[in-house]
Amino acid sequence: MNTAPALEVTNLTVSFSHEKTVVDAIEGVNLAVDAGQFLVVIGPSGGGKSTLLNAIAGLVSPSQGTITAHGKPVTRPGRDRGMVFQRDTAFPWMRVSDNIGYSLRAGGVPRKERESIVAHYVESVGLTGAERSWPKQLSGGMRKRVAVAAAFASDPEMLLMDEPFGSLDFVTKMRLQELSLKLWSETRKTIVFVTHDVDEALTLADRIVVIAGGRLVDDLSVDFRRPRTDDLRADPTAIALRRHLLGRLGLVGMSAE
Amino acid sequence: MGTLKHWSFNLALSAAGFGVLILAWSLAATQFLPVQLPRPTLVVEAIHDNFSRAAGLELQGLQGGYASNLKYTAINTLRAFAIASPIGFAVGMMSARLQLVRDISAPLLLLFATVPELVAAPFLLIWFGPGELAQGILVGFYCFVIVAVAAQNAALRLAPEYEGFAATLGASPRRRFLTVVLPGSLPAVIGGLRIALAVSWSLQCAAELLGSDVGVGRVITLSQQLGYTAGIMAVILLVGIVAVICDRLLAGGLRWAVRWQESVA
Repeated sequence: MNTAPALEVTNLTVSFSHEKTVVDAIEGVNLAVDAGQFLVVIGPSGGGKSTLLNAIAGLVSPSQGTITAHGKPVTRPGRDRGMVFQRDTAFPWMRVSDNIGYSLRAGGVPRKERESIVAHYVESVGLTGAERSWPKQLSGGMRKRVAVAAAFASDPEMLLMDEPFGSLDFVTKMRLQELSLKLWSETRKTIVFVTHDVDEALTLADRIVVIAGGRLVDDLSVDFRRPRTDDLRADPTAIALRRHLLGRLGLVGMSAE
Repeated sequence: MGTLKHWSFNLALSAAGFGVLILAWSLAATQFLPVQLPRPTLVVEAIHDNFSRAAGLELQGLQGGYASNLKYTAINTLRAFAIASPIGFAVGMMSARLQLVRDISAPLLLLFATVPELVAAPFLLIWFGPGELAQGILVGFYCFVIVAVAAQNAALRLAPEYEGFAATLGASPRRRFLTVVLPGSLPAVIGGLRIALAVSWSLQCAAELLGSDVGVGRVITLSQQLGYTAGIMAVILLVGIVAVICDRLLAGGLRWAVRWQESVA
């Protein structure tokens, strides 16, 4: 039995040059993620969360250290690591169905099979009837559904989500969290989800790691029963964990309410 | 129905604009000699009399009428635009994608974009003669520069997340270029293409004015020698009408190509 982690980040440092100085966005991060785990990366803005995710995706190169996904070193982006970005990335020049089937077309999947997979994900994310729409004709939440469906339709081994619902209103955000959990429970893909929202982290995560100042400063297991309802907010363990995380974000004084 | 109403209203406004212009022109013409500012009716008359054969200009060596000379100008303009703008688009895209191409081409494009066209025109006429070739090179070259600069800027400004998203969906660099960078850059290139077409008309006419045996520029030169101002204005009007029609057709085609950019139907 293969017990190797789905993702292994070893001594990762990512540096950027800025006005003749070199800044370490990520410094000496070590992280192992099991297959099927829902890992949430939380931390203050500018702490290095997105850089970590971009490095795992292969969109930025490590200055030091290594990243291994499913036993293979990460050197460039690949279909094995799907990604949902904070910004709208549903291609505006493609209709909804073409967006969702983009990876399948790129992968040479035969048309009939492609249409069947697209139809499945259109239904899964609640976009039935909007297949022929342009993204501009959809709401922000619907466009995000298109991006999530496109990422899942590519059947990656791991899904990287970079504050995907950060710009959405509260209700849309809750619905998309539900949708992500539904797709995750159906597919059991490994998910690495970046957010700065503590409640979102507590709703979604099996495990939470805190990245601050470019370093991994906390690694916490989240064992609450699923589905996690509003009752979780009253659970003393959850309250304590929430306070702990807010403290890590430097907001503990604001959690007194 | 709403769209038809809106369209009719816009048409009525445009017609009203033309009406005001013609009225102002007619009033102004009463204050000048016809050789300075002819009445609108004289211009219409000039078009009618010279459209298929400009008898008055034949003695000066002109062949045909306004129509055939306009056709020559239009064909040369559109041919140069049709050849040069795709090349400019391709070079602009390549320079946005490849640092080496950008390093080489960016200063040259900037240099040529800042040299006034009419300064370059005499050199081209000296090198290639006063014929179609020199005119085509002049028009095509500036078309190329305008479109290349627009395409380079458009591709550089495209949000990198789109390409990142495509990469994580397994698209090869070639597929990313064809399915993400090209369509994503198109809206920002549209302005450049329309400017290039408009500049092409003025450059073609300017090149003909500097020395040509045929074309609208030639008609204007000969009419000027005869003091036939109504003829000059007639030809300018005809070129303007054809240029506007071409621009509308190009804009319509481009609008269709980026129909995904429009708001909810």
